[in-house]
Amino acid sequence: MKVKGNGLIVIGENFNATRKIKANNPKVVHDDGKVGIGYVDLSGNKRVLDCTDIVPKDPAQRNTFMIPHIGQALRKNDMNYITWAIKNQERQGAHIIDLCVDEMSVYPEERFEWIRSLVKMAQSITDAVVTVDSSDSKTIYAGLEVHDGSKSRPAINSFNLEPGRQELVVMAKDRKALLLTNASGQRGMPQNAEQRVQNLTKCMEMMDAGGIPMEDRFLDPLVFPIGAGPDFGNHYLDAVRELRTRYPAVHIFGGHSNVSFGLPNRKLLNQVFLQLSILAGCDALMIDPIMNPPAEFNAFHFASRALFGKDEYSVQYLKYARALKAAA
Amino acid sequence: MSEPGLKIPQGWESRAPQGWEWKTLWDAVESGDHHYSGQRVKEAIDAKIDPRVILDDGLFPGFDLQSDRFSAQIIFIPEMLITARAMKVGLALIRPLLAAMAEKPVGTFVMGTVLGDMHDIGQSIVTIMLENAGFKMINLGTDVHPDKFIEAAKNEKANLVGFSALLSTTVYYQKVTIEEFIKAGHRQKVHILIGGAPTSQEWADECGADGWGKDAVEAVRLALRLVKEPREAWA
Repeated sequence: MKVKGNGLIVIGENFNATRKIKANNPKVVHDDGKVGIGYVDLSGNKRVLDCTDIVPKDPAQRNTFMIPHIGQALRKNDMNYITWAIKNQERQGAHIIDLCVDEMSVYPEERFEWIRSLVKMAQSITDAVVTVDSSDSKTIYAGLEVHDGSKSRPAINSFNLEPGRQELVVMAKDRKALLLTNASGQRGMPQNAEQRVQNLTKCMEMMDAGGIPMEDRFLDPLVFPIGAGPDFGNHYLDAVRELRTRYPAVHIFGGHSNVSFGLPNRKLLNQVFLQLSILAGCDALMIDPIMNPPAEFNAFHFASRALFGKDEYSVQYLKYARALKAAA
Repeated sequence: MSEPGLKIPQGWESRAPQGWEWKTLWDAVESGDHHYSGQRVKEAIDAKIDPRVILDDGLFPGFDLQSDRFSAQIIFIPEMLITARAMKVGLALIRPLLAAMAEKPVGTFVMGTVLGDMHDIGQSIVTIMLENAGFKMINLGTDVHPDKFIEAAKNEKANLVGFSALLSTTVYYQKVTIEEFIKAGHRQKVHILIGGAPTSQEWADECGADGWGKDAVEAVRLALRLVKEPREAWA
């Protein structure tokens, strides 16, 4: 996959049922005994996602309550909110929309139903590539079953060495899917940069054998929170550098916002980590495009490549600068 | 909410030699200075202070203070971890002495991440915290089959068992593993705790666990409370 102007590929991570906002967030509106999340849709209309049935009535409980807004929109089948949550990411520059319903139910059969209906719904809303994302491969199969490949290509998130995931390579080939691949090992999470590279190298060999085109492979060396281990940032960045040297033509990305989990001022940590990741060799980002707008990372990407001499005669930078001027 | 304060152990002077002080150790554990905490515990051992007293009067207050602050969301995980490390260094020095005095651990705790889940960060933090609180920890690692949990609980005559799950798609195995304990006839012999980012008190109730820890500090408090409640004896 390639995007216009050779910029970074942006995967919008927001359509995930785990997403929550605090019930005391200013976006939460109270009106006539009803509680909801206020938003302005893409046509400029003020709208509210009704959350009355899940927000606790007791003010003390309400203060600590977290509203699972994506889950709520799905349960309420609120097409306005669902459409907005997808299209708003595209407007901010997302090329790929990640879809994850894992949090909708702990029971596999129910999860299969949720992903089937969401994939269909998302394809009726957008022409962008949608990613069927689950930590359970059977949920991915369920989502792919209903995906209409004649409208747009699907993406799979994700393939790795864990047992039961190998068939995803066959399925990706069959469906012409982008294959997001992470560094999780057969027996557990990688403990350092070397294990990340080793695991992904094995995955690369399996994708070679499975005939997955180089430009459809997205490698994720796995980002862990630095709050839990001070070396976790380096494990990721060192792995990105090594993988970029080994595989110049693949896409490399990561769940970058994981890095700041459990720490204050996450936006700042995410922003700097994204810049470091770009310098290390990432050409794709999986982000919240509303919190960390992709435009600033594209600017960083083109400028830093020119400054490091990776952009011969600054050709790409100049194209980028012209496009900016034309758009202004 | 009032700011948590240091709880100075009552009558600590009577349990220490004349002129002894613990303040520097309380501060060292609080600020996470593991070099000093190790050094001060060695000095306390050389001064022939009872190892149990070193633990309760010397190491615990700073740890307890940071736990309170963590619960109140005043400090963050790295600050809790650095305090846990300072406590662990001291504890490592006195643990052999406690064992020699036939001091029993608070309880035996079998810990692991459930089947299909490779995440170990959360449960390894909880393991350190429980060790500090005096539990004998048996950590089975990640992707643990229910049979392995049962076997370890039986072999170790565990008082408590903890199942961690970090994925919405694997929390289901917390329920499955509890069901396997029931089938094996061992459910009444252990207290079962669950935890992990996608879990909640509602889920703990639904899957039949005895308790849920929202974070590592909660897990320790819960374990200390539950271990006092009697269960059926292991054969």
